[in-house]
Amino acid sequence: MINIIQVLIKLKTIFVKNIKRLMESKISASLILFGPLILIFLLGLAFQSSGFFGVTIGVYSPNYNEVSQNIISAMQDTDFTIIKEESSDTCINGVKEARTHLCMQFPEKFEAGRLAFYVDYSRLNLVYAIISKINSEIGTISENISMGITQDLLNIIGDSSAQLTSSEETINQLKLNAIALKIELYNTSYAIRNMNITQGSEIITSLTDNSSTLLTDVTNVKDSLVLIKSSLESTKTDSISASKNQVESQLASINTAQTNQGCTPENSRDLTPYLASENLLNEMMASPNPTCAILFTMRLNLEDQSSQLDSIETDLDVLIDYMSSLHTGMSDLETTIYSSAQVAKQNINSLDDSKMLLSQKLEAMALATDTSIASFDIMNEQLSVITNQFEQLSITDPGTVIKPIKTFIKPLSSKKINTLDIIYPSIIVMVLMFVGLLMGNILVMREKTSRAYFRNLIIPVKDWVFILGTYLTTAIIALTQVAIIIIIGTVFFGTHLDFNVFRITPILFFAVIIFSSIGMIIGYLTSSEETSVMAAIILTLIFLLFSNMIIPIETMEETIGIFARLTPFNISEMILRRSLVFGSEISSTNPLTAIIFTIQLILLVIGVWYSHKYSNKHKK
Amino acid sequence: MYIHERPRAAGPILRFSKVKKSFGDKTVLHDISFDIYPGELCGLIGQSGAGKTTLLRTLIGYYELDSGSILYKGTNITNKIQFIRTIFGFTTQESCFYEDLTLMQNLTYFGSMYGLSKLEIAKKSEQLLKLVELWEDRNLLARQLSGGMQRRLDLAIGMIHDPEILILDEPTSGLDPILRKSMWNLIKKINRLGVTIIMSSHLLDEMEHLCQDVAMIKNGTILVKGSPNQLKSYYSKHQEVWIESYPGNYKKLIDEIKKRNIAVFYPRHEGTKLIFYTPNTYSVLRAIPLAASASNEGLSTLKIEKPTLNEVFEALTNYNK
Repeated sequence: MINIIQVLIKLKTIFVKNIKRLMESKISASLILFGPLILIFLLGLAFQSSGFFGVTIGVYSPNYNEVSQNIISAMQDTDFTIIKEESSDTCINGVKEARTHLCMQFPEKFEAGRLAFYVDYSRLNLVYAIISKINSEIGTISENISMGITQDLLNIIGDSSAQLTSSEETINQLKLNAIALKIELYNTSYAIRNMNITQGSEIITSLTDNSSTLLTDVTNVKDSLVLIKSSLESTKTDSISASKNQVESQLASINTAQTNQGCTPENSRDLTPYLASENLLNEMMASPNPTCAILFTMRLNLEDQSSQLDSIETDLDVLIDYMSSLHTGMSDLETTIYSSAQVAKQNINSLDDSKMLLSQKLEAMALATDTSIASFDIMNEQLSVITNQFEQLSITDPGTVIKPIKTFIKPLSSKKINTLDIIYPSIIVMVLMFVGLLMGNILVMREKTSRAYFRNLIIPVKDWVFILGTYLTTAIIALTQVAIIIIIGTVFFGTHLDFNVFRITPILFFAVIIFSSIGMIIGYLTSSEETSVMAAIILTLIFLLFSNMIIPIETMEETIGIFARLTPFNISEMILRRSLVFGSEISSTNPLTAIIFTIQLILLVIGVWYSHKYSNKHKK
Repeated sequence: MYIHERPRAAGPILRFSKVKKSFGDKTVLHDISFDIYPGELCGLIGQSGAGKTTLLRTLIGYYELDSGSILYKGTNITNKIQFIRTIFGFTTQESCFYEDLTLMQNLTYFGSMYGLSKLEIAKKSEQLLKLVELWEDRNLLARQLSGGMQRRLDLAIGMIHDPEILILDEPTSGLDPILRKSMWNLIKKINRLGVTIIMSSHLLDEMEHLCQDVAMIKNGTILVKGSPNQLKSYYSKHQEVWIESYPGNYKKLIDEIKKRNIAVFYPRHEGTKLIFYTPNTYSVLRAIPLAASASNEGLSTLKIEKPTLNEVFEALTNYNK
């Protein structure tokens, strides 16, 4: 107990000593006392309203119509200063030259174009605020335009629904027609399948059979013709030739006899005309030379016979040729009869095949008609579904389509919150960070560089008492400043936040311990005061840059964003915001966040201890 | 090494026994052993870097010992850091206090850190400030004090918890002779109050003037410990001879002196002077002019004196080089 009291007395002594040392300089004292006052007064005055004073917007439109005029009027009503630019380039240059904060260009036709914003992203936070505001203004106008368009759309949907109903009837009729067609096809197929082509077939078969007989006959005739022809050729060769040789031989004998008898044409007379008459002998005797006459007449007869034989030979040749041609004709006839029979057979077969094919095709058509009927059913069902959906479409109000989910922002607190209230948690954590980090750092550095440092190392006080003393000093100064900020904010600027001392004190305390730990570690690890303060300032700037104070964390690269969310500044700010705005207890903090926050706290306190040890060792 | 150990009424208040301390590879204290007796004002003499400050800081627990022990009234207190810090008071050559606090605030702060009550602090502060003659300036900021006043304030702060042993590390370093003398008086005054004082200095006349016992330290080793008179009488068997000659070929001169059967100890150069010790005072007076003539040296100065502690120290430290 005595030890605890002793420690408390020593802590008080360290705190008093630190305060006296800080207050020894009037500038330091002023900063500690008036710093937060000045800060909160400036912030309070700056952020009492939520308007956009001093924001100038350049607008350009090829032709200002009702819509663009409405948008411009709406923005003018929201404290924006509007400058109508002469051209698109002038409008854009206005932003570049910082004459305007944003350039807004209307399309020639809203139906075909887009409303374009040209912004200077180097002023990202302002750009977001302006665009957010403009979007909300334009949103209202855009909503009105959408209403008309949506009404048209709903009308078209109504008409389509009616047309769908009539289409359903048409499809039903089509289905009936298809069924009838199917029946007809089946009937026709059946009829064709049962068509009797046997009779024709039999005729053809009989014809074929007859043709075979005919063919045999023809063959026989052909054979006969061959025989005849052969006989004729034999006659010609054997008989006629022999006869001709005989005649010629007789003619030669006669010639010889005539020559021998000295027959001349004058003593030779033709007795032929008298051969069958009784006067033959007389005539013969009356001839100058009866022998010659006889020889002459014989000769004439032989010559006559010879020419007759020639004629017969010629006739025989003709006959033989005729026989040949007749034979050829018979052969042709035979071929014709045979092929005719084959063709007839084939025709009968083709006719049967065609009948079957036709029947099958018709049946296939009938089946296809079945599919069509099924499709008609599906179409009908689909149309029914669509029609039902259209019928169930109870939306008649275009507003429901434009904003199916109607949103409105309802503050969780019934009190009206201004910009100052919104930034209050950030300001408090910022003050904690600056005071904690810099004060922790400065106290350690001043101690380290103080001439009393050595004496503090050889007095019977444990190291942790000094560390605790520094924490205590930093925490009391930082919390006092926060208290001043809260009191002034509440009394003079009427903030509407829930400043429950019991709820926010632990949050503020943990935050200040974390920040002062960081400051102290920097102090212990650095050797010169300048380096130390510089490092502390850089770190506070890093915390600020990677917070929502400058640009939203959500706009950062994903990995950086995750780490940024875990900085002590952002975690403290988040927990404090929940407490101030929603009245959340520290115990209701997200477990993961609470664990990370606790780990940071523990690690930093351990870090302070070891850096203190390191610093002492280094100093020795 | 003790020169003629004096008889003591009581045992040592503090005993160093084979104290050893190294920093990395460098051994700063080599098996240091010596005793400090109650009420004694003991001086540590040594050149800069000899190990005086390390020895004193080891004593107050600022540095941990590598080996050896420190006994307080026979009890080993080597590892009882918190206890050590209550029995020792410490002042340094840099003056350890907050310059941006007043004298009273400094005393109040350190008094409180030593666990004194407000009343005790008030009483003790007044007493100490009056002792160091700063009572009138008690509300001044410490940085507003002069160098000598700052030393006195440091002394007062070092004594705020009534330490049995006061350690003064170079207490007069950087002070002008008048302030130094004033500081000596103050130290004597404190010692007379019964406070055992261990004081380091490289100013040997200061030691000679103040300390009952002096330990000479070099390269982390105690060369010798005894009262200044003991040391001087030990070394006063020899006379200190100062010679200044031209052109200053002292090696040849020494050889010439030695040729004349004169014992020469610890010869050294100091500026243009040659210094050595000899027991043959009268012989040397005769021999030196002859030796100078023989070595072609034009003698300009010849001085023979009994050595001071400073001279004893210089002789010892050079001898041990």
